[in-house]
Amino acid sequence: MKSRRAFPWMVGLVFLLAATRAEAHAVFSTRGPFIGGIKHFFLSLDDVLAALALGIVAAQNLAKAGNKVFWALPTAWLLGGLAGLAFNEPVRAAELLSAASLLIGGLLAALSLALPASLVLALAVLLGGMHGFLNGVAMQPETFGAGLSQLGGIVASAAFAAIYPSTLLEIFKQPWTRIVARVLGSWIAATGLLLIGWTLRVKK
Amino acid sequence: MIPHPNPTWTRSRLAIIAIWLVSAPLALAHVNGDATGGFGSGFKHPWSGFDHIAAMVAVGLWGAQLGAPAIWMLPVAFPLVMAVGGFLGLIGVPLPGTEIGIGASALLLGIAVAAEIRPKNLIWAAALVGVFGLFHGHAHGTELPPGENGLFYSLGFVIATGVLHGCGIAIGEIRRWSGGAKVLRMLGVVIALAGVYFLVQAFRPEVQSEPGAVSTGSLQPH
Repeated sequence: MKSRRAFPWMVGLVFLLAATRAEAHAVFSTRGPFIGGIKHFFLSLDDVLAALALGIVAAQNLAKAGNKVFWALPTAWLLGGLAGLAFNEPVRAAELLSAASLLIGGLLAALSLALPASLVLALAVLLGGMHGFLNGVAMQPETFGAGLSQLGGIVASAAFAAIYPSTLLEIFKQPWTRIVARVLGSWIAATGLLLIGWTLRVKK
Repeated sequence: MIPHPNPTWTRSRLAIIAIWLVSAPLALAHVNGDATGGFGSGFKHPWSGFDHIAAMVAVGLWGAQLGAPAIWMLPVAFPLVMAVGGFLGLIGVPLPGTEIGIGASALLLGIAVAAEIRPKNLIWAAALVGVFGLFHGHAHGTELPPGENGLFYSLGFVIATGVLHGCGIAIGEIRRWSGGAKVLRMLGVVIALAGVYFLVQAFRPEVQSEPGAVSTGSLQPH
């Protein structure tokens, strides 16, 4: 049983240790837009932290809304990304919006509240859609197909980043895993709040 | 009873992990200098003053002493309130007596560990730690250097704070060993004495009069 429990951690370890050189953006022209999308997601820390926070909130409310979040989040991310691709104009408040999403998601994860299913779903749709939109407007694909493929990589990664921690929490139904999740939530929220202050200070 | 691990299995697992570790390729994640520099300087910042280190380790020590749920409640509450202080500092909202508050935090948290104070309601412990977190956060917020990557800097800063708490908790776990509780209380005395020193420094006229005075226990100018 112990080796079974160790397996997800080993998978995570393999991902970490098998990390290759990160060449963000340059990869788009060498390995295809889908892989480029995956790399872009994991190098965009705000996206990763937002998906992680949502994954934790979903795991904390798994019985009511967790499973629905796992399809609502990628769908909203994809639709938001498509809207962003169509809009394709820089958003001035992008950093502030991203920081606010970290604060909200992280705070809910830190508080570990039993939330109504509708609220968890609304959160997934809102944050997923917003991050997707910001991804979409920042992309400069050569063709619409390439943009769609890149977006596919981003969405698949977002789904992974949300589902993987939730799966770990579900497998290790131990008090300490819940605590680790809450501590992570508080770190994400604190990062978001500091980033809001940072953004406002820069704009002074 | 803890089952005795199979030595062959343990050895082979360790060997696999060792192979992975030594075969890990060059990590150049985010070659962008802003981002790595931002995380590095954010991570280093909480370690730049003994007053911050003493108070944050004391939070961990006190949490370990109080046991569950305080052991995790305090480290969850502290970064959040500290971020509120940092936010206020960043947007330029003044908080009078910041250095005094930081010195007082080391003194009172040291006393709490030395006397093994156990509040009847943990909310009081969280509130005390939270108020101190506000002062520490504000001091850091006003000292954050411009031009770094804000997200990476903030994350590095928060993680470093968590690591300091973790150090405190890990050290605090010596209470489980015979005589460990006494050593822990002695550490509380040391932190409280350091707090007295920080307070004296904070009351020095030159520190009081200097606008944006540096942290009293700074190892280097911010």
